[in-house]
Amino acid sequence: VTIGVERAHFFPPNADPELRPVFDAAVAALEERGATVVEVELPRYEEMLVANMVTIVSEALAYHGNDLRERWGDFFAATRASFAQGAFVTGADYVQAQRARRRAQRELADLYTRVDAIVSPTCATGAIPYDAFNPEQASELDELFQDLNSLFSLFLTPYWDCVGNPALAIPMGFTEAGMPLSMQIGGRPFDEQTILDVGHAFQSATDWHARIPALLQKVAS
Amino acid sequence: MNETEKIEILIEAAGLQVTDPDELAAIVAAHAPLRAGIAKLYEDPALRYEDHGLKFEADPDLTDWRAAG
Repeated sequence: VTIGVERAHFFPPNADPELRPVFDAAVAALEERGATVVEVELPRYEEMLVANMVTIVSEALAYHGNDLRERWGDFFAATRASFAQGAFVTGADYVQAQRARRRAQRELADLYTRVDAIVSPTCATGAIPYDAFNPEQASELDELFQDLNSLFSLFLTPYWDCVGNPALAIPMGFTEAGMPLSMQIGGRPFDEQTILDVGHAFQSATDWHARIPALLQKVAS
Repeated sequence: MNETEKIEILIEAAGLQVTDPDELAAIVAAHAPLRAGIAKLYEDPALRYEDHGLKFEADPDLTDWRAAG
């Protein structure tokens, strides 16, 4: 099995400092399991981030528009701010975004003639702590969500959302603060089996998926 | 007309009620990079005649990872 490793687009400046060493260790674990690892670069990555956002905000406004007009205040600030972007995107923009998606799909298919799966981090930071969702401590979270561009730069799943290939996210370690980090494995269209097999092989060699969060340990005790 | 004024008009046309000036400023700021990215999508001649319908071509190579050891 040949696994492509994507590093070029998945380590933004605001990434958690543990992300790179944890990901490197995850790739090493795959190699130890017998995978051939090659460096790759996903085609049209930046275009897919744009096309993904155009598609999301257009479809979100189409679906939620009536509720946004009538119940603006009931939506979370970051949610309504992103959905409102749909009002500034034209029909032509939407069509052009779909053209970009199709082009990326075809170029990605070419890449998959050389690899069986592609791995990268899923998110550039650990999971947001449960405590951050408490109203008393929500100000920092709200501040983060207000800066949409900074926030979205941390999420590393939009490429796969946009091209539509199957992708699997599995635990690959923790931040220094003890929050989980994740590796995503992207595959060919309809080839879920390969990415599930890669995930299974990784989890057979590691125990990150078996760790119990401190929150659940408290509940269990 | 500046970007804020344009977006205010589009928000009004969409029937949305963004009354908080800070929230409006955040929405305007978030739109600027998206608009710049959209403009780039039109610059690539390879996209001009591309199909805008997504297709998912099934050509799986069903490698048996576990059998491969």
